[in-house]
Amino acid sequence: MLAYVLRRLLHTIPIILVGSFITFVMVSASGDPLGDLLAKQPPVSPAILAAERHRLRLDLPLLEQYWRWLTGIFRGDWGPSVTRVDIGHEIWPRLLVSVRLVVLAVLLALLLALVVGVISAVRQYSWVDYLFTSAGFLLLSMPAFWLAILLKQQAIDVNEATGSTLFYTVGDASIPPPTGFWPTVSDIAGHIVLPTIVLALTTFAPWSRFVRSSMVEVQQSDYVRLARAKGLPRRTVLVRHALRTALIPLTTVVAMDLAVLFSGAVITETVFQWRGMGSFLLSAVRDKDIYAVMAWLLLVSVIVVLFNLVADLLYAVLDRRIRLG
Amino acid sequence: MSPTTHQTTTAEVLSVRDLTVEFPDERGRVQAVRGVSWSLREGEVLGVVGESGCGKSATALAVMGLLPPGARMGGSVRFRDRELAGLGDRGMSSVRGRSVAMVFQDPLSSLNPVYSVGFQVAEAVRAHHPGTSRDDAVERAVHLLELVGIPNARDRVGDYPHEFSGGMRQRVVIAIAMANDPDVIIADEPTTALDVTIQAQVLDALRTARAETGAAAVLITHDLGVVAGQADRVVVMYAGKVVESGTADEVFYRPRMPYTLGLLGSLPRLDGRFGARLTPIAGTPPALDRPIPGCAFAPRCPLARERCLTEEPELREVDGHLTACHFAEELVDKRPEDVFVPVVAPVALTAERPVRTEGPLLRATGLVKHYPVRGGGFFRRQVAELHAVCDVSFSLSAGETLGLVGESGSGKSTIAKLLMSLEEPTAGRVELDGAAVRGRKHARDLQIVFQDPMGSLDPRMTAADLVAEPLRINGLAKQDARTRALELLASVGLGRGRSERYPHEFSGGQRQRIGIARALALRPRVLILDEPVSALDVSVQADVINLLEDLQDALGLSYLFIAHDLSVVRHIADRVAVLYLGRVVEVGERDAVFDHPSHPYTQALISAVPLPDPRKERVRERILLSGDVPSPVDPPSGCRFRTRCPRFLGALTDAERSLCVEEVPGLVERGQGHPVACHFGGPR
Repeated sequence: MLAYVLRRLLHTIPIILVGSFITFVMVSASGDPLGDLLAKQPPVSPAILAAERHRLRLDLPLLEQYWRWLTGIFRGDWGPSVTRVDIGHEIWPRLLVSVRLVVLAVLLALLLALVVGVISAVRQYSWVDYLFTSAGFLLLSMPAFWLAILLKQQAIDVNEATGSTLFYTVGDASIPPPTGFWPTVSDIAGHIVLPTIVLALTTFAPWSRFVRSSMVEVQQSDYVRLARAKGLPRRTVLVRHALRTALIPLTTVVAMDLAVLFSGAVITETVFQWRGMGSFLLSAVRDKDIYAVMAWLLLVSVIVVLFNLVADLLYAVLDRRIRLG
Repeated sequence: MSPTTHQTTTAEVLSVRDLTVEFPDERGRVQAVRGVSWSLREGEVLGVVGESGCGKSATALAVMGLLPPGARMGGSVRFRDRELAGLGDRGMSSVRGRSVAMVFQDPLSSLNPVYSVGFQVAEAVRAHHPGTSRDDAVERAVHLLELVGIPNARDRVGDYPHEFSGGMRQRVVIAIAMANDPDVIIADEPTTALDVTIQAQVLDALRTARAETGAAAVLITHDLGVVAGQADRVVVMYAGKVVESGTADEVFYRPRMPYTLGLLGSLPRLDGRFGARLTPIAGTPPALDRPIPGCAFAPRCPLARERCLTEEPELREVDGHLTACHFAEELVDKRPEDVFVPVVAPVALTAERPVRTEGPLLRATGLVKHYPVRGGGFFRRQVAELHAVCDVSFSLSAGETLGLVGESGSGKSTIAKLLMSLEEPTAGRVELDGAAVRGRKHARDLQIVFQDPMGSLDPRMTAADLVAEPLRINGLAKQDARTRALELLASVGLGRGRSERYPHEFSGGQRQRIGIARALALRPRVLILDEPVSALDVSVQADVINLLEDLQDALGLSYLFIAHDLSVVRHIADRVAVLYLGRVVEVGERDAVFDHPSHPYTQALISAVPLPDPRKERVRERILLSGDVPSPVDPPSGCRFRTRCPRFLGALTDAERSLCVEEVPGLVERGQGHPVACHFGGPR
């Protein structure tokens, strides 16, 4: 097992290297970070431009830029930002904010997907199944930003109608933050409700369809029939034999979707004006801030790779036929 | 299982009265079971036989209350004094496994892959004895697994299903069925997916299960041979009804229903009657989506008259047992061939190539095929070799049929691929008429018919297009190819009206005919038939076998007939080669091999085949081989059969054994009249 994990991690190094190089080249080619400075009226003095160009390493060949970025990472140097902030200093708190949202949304989505998927499969072609199916497809086809804006507007209306702040619709925490542990926790929890709902709803819909179809398949399997022939009660068969095996392929789907979730979070965070990874990426792209974009991509790709590994390991634990090696 | 004559005084444990089962279908509802009644007495074995779709399994599932959702059930199912129909799922849970247990067909999918076998057996124990501690339940599981013959059961309870072979998994399923000392065990095709020597082992385990629990059994199978050896009484089903029922002897020796007689006549026999033409039953079973006014068998029955089409025959007693035929009395002293006249296939094709050549037409010399087994590492290094075929040589003359027999893993299908140049041999050569066969050069002369007729026909092409395709590939103009395709289809009995249909519109036997017509399109000299009839029902199988024989006579074809069914091979082959783990262990004229088998494996194989003859079955001595076929990745040294050989494990001295371990026995004549690859070959 340990050898397998090490080998898998070793495999990911070339993948991340090649991937990061390609993105570096593409991001560099996508625009001049000095564009804003050049367009300034009155014109900025050439000396300042040259200094800025040197600070942003634009005077170096592309390969050397990449090499310095790459080696810098290991020293904790994420590279110079156009906005002159320390990228490393900026990105970690934002990552924490986003991970908080994504993890909570994934847990909620999983719970919903399981309940809805299992009920749909057990009561196949009943009105409950049809209801869940329609709701699922409605949510599937609903863009996240639209749902987010709708929900936010509703929440604002409710707040105005009741005259008190029932829902927090802006930001990931109050500014300034409340003092004390419990006030902080409840403040964060209050802010997280709406974005979590948006993210969970849009995520759970495809998962519940997946749970449903794999439950329907497993329920028709020979081993579920044998389990019933043993005289086990229906509920035991359902949970122990059907659900347990139907869940295995879901691990892969969830792990794969985590990458999508991060991009989904960009939109949700923007709507609710969170200072998370989403707004970080957006402003980095807007500013043509090469090193900020690279920092975001590097972190997200490491997360994706890690969760794929976790999914494969889980797979092997859940299904003994899978041998790692 | 000792078949005894039963008095009606023995108590009934399980009885089914007027059982009906309906399944929803896209066109409405299908009447899978149309009023079935039978009863099972204490300690007896009731055989339920019939071809696929006759309602055997649906009856069993109805008894267990395990019909799929949407199915409708009517009639009565009684277990002792208790009515089971309408009991509901909760009520049935207490019956299932404890009063009536079930063994299903496919052992590979019957066990849950994510739980250990010990857990799954223990689970059955605890289902009805919730007070049993986990440890006690596992202890009982070990005991049960030992009873059904799992070696080292104590060490293996923690293993998962995929670590067991098919035969071993079926034993685990039998152990589960035994777990709560049931009064009835229903076994639905328990050995159908298994090799014949493994089938013998599993039937033995079932017998142990019955002896241990004292349970009566319902044995559902399409294999008349299996029923003949196991059942006290037999029920024959057709189109959702019981058409004949009586003691095994009565049904087998004095059938009074034309369908039963037809089934017996279409069965190739390992004993007697070989060489004679099989008498298939024309047509196919009826679709059950609408009511059938008269006798369901009438459209296929040579005895059918006006009355049969309008009036449904009731089960009535004729000559001491029950039959559902208006004209049962006419069957007295009739043989199958007296009633079912074999239709001569309308072969219109003639041999358009010179067929006679000097010496063998097809010759394989020293064929070896190793497959690399790769590790999962970054470089996928080869970690071992799978020895699929090891030094196999044989020859096939013009107009001859060579039967290649072996169980799974014997290398049969690999040999077919090597002959067809679909795989490159590791060593050895294949020659046709003295010229090496390589690539597509000989594609015209060598053609193949596959086992699965559905899987080998493109579902989006019509029958005519399928047969014309090889002709078009070889440059025939569209219109000419079509003309020839229609001619070929006609010659395999698929007339013009059906040439524009798609594969799914044909029955299994008809699909296999399309496969044969396609293989014949290029006027090959050798047909490789890879299990061509094993996916077909008995009555249909006979039809295809007859067709193959007719085509051979008309066209002078040579057949390499690959099969695991020894009865079929005995019927069709001129010479036979027996394969074990990639090696030929015995080869010779058909009758020499079957009547005087000299290799211990051939002997065990032949003895394991059940005969559709109750009296012969009862007195037959079966050679039960121990264990499973070893892995071809690491085959035993010397003689590959020695790990299971009754001679090696029995009578041989240590000095003799060391010869088996050290030296590979050559395939040579050792005074048995034909080549045998055994150091100590000879009669049993």
